[in-house]
Amino acid sequence: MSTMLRWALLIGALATASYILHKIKRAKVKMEDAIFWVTFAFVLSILGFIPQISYYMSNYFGIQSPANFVYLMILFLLIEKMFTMSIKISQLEDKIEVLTAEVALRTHEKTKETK
Amino acid sequence: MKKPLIIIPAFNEEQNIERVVDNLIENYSQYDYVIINDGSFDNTRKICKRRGYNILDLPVNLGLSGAIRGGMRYANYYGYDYVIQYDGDGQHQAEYIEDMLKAMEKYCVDIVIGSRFVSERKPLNIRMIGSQLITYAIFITTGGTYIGDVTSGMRLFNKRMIKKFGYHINYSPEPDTLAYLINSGIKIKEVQVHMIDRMAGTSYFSLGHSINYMLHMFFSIFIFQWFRDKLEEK
Repeated sequence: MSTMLRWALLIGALATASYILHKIKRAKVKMEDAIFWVTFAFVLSILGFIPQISYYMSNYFGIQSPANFVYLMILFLLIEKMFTMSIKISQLEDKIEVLTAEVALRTHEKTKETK
Repeated sequence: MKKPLIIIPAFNEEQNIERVVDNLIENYSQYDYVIINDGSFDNTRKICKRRGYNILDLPVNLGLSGAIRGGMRYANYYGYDYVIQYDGDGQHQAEYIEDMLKAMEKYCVDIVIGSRFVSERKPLNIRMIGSQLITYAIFITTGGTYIGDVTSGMRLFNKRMIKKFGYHINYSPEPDTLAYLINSGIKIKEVQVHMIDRMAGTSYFSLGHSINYMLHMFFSIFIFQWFRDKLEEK
């Protein structure tokens, strides 16, 4: 694993963590949603600090180069995030449907009462 | 002075809500109350309408923190000075509300927690081990403030807190918010209360949520609270 890649990982981790923590400071994000990104940054920095992990794991899984293990790890985490987000979005869409229907129903009820 | 307001978050409480609210109406008319129906899909809403209860009816399920937010906004809208958070499942005893109000006056605090563990010991079970871990986390991060019953759902808030909990992000009615508030100079006092086990229905939190809940609490108590701006008055 090249020194450049290690630096890139560390800088990426630092940028991710500081951005999300800045968002918390500005009260722009819910804290439960920041947990993933802090963990993500933590994993990146571990991979950057201790390249032996990537060497060992790539050997273990039969992956050609340690850098590929790093990419795999990032892909895995992002796909997991996408998966949970996709579920979350469909729940939110469902909520909006119910919310809209209920608001319409209740305003209808009110206009009927006043007539 | 306006009466204190009791907010009762209720999610699928058809078996308990009548008993709880009738008790408040008959025996505790010195307090106003509002039920926050958190998008229940059982008969909670119908029962409340039939009995003519004062109800804030949320069209979708938001979870406890959203329900409390609704209640806090209601309290602010109608100009209440004190809000008591009170469970809809019959666990809480309204006789202790007076003690809590007195404690708020006497010690000049912003939040009073109706606690099961001021003069009594915490029982040993999984739930309470989790609770004790959060107690220690708060103790360490606040430089020695001990809160015995961090997950108590019976709390009294003053006007300043009503505005915070109703209108700001990341003010969930959970222990991590308590830690943050203590570090922002808010005073919190615990008062001994007695609670009875719920008689019917299921609790707001299932066991499946517990690990997620603990993770969330630890991240926010040990990491996130240090990055939040200290209580700005707007």
